[in-house]
Amino acid sequence: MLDQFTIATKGGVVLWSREYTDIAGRPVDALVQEALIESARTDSTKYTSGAYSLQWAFANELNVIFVAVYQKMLQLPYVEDLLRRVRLHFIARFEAEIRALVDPERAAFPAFDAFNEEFDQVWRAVEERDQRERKSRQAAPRKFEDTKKFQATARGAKLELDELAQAGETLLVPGRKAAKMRAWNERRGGSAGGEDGAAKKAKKGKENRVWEGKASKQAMEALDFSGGGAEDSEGATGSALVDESARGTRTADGIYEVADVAERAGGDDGGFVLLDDSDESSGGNNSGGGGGILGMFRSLASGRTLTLEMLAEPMARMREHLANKNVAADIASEVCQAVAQSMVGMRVGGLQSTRALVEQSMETALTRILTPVSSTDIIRDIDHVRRQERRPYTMAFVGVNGVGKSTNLSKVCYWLLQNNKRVLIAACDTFRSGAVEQLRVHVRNLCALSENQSVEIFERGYGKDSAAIAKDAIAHGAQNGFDVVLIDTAGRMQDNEPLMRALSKLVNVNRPDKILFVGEALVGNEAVDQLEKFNRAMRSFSGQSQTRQIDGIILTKFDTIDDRVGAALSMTYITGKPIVFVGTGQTYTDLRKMNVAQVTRALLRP
Amino acid sequence: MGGGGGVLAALASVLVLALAGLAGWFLLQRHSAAIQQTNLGAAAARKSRAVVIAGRMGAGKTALWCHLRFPETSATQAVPRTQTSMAVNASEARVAGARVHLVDVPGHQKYRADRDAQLAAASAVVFVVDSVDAARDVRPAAEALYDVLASGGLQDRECPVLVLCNKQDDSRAASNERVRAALEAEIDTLRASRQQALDSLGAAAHDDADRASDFLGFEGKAFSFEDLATPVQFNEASMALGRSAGGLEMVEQWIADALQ
Repeated sequence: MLDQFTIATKGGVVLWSREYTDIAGRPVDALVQEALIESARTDSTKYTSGAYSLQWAFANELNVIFVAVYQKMLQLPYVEDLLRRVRLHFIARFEAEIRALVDPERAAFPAFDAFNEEFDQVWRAVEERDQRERKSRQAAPRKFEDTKKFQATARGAKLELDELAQAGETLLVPGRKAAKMRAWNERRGGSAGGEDGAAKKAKKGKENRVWEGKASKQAMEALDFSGGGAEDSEGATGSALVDESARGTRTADGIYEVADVAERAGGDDGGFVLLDDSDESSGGNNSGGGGGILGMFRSLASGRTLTLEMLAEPMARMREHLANKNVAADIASEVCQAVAQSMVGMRVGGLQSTRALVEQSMETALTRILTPVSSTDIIRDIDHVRRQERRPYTMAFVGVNGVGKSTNLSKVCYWLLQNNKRVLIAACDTFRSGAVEQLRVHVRNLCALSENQSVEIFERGYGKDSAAIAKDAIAHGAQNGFDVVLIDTAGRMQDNEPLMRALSKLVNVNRPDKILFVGEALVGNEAVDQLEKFNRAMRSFSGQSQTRQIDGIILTKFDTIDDRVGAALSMTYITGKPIVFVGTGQTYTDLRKMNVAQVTRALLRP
Repeated sequence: MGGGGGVLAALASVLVLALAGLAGWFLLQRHSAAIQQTNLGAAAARKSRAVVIAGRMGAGKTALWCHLRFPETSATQAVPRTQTSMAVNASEARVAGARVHLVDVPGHQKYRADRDAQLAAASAVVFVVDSVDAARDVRPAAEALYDVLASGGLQDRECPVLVLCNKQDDSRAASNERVRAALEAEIDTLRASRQQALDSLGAAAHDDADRASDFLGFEGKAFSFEDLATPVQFNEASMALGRSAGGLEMVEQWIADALQ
């Protein structure tokens, strides 16, 4: 059922692997690349790639990852348990070998083949456990006779009374006779044949009431429960009441302690024991609480292992710190949770504070989130498109109202002009009053500023369809040898469905090389909503299989925030796309490239 | 006189106690740091000169690291398989008799900061190129090589660089010379476009982020690897073919020479 199980170091060296069939492609590589490195937004521990589903687990103190690969259409509920157990067994057995990987004296790769049998045993044990649990959960459905509904019916009520009467009768009669009567009843079919008995009883007719002083001698004796009778010996022997093998133990003080819940052995495994989390020794740190001072000295000497509880408080403080820096609340908690997960199991020296380590890990995590995956060299892309495909490079600027699309478009235009590119500006904002005039003024200024190259505007006035205008603009640019076409769109709220449809149409008809989302650095939690809805609109209103998404982000009004730069983190985290430009003012030269180190420092500065 | 002696004795005892406390403090610090080092994920302490293996994802860096780190296993061609790295592989090792600190940085773009940090302390750099990919499109490899050459202060320290054209066992692989020529042409274009890039955010002029747009080579002259301050050597290799046929002995020899 499993297709592959791999145990490797985080550094990429495969320690042990078992393939049950041929694997198409490299799903583990895809998992590491997409789920673990690139997209930090996986809270689930499941990932799909091609025809396979993957689940994984980490052992952070030894830098090892465990991956299970199986067919996507299967539902294997025990994989999580299997991963946990295999991790425990593997670490317990091979910890020394794993540490030897960085020991310079060992020049040969340690052998991990001995794990083959143990893996089979663990898997068998986990499967059995899972089946047992499933069986106990899904017991056979109750018979109708056992339900309350049956008891409410007439037949049920009658049967119940008869059962009571029968039971009562056997009580009235002394010991041995009761046993005989019971045997007699059972031969007749017992309680299941109660109906026959009931029918027979009914024929007996109504019994007379027994008044005081008129009871027979037999009945009187039967009703006399005082005094010990030898007849109560039945069922009084200890062996029948208590299972000797399940007895607990008596401690030295004479206190009787109940036996532990026993793990049912696998029968023929020859003493194989499935490890559990509670068996794991936690590095001897928690051995006995010790006094306050003594415990502190102990932790100073031997250090401590990080757990989620220990990280809860520093992480809460870090989350608050990030929220104060204008990071969206959801993003802050997701990032903190991911960092906490990656730190579980690490060992901390006595004198080192958890807080310092948390800051270190946060810095690495934030740097990784902000670092772009693809190249942000636009000039190189423009040259490539012009030379290879002989058409202008198109960039579309989208965003909500008032974030600075037209201003930053003109700044980008100025930068391109300085690099000797011929630029055409397409005025596709046909809604806002003065939008086209604003761009005309920009074009006039830029022409005056740049001596040899020229910039032109392509406009068709107000009220027309912006997708058509963009298409005409690109055709015009191709005809007249322009290098770049910048498309200015109208600002629109992310909830406005007709406008989002219009944007999706513009993007699909014209297929710009880069779709740049313009967002202001002042935005807080709104950033999450805006980006998600823009991406979703472009995906769902396109009607095509290959949909476009936002390719890059322009962060504007950066000079208005001091070091509350959280919006940069929120936007990059949601989309996974880089911040291509940063707008730092309102003149043509106020455009910068993103500096990851500086933003990370600003985020972590107290 | 007795009082003076008593004060002196008190001072001496206080001094001794203070020294003992300081010594104990330093010992505890060292001990804590040692506990920290037991985390295999933590940056390993470096005792010898560092050799950094860099390159794009899937080029064969971790395979090379395994070959160099485990020479005994590598001789019998039983080197472990590798997958995409998500952490730095760093370990002391013996390469051609010399003791070096071998570092393998993941090729994924997100590990740029780690790579730059490792390069800043490197004494020799091996850049692994996937020759099959380079035959098709050399731009990503050229960008990665540009980043490596320009950052970390390699040019200032004249740190030697070996460009290893890996996967030569594949028939589609481009040869040494072809890869070299393609890289030179692409870096020529890249240095122009990087010069034209915007300034980086923030006032720090010599931030590492800006070093990536440093101009390589001489202006006005087509880029060639000889123009660089660092000695760059090109070699062919194939990790899949094992130790002798794969050219690994040549790599070890180069490392031994470079670290002298």
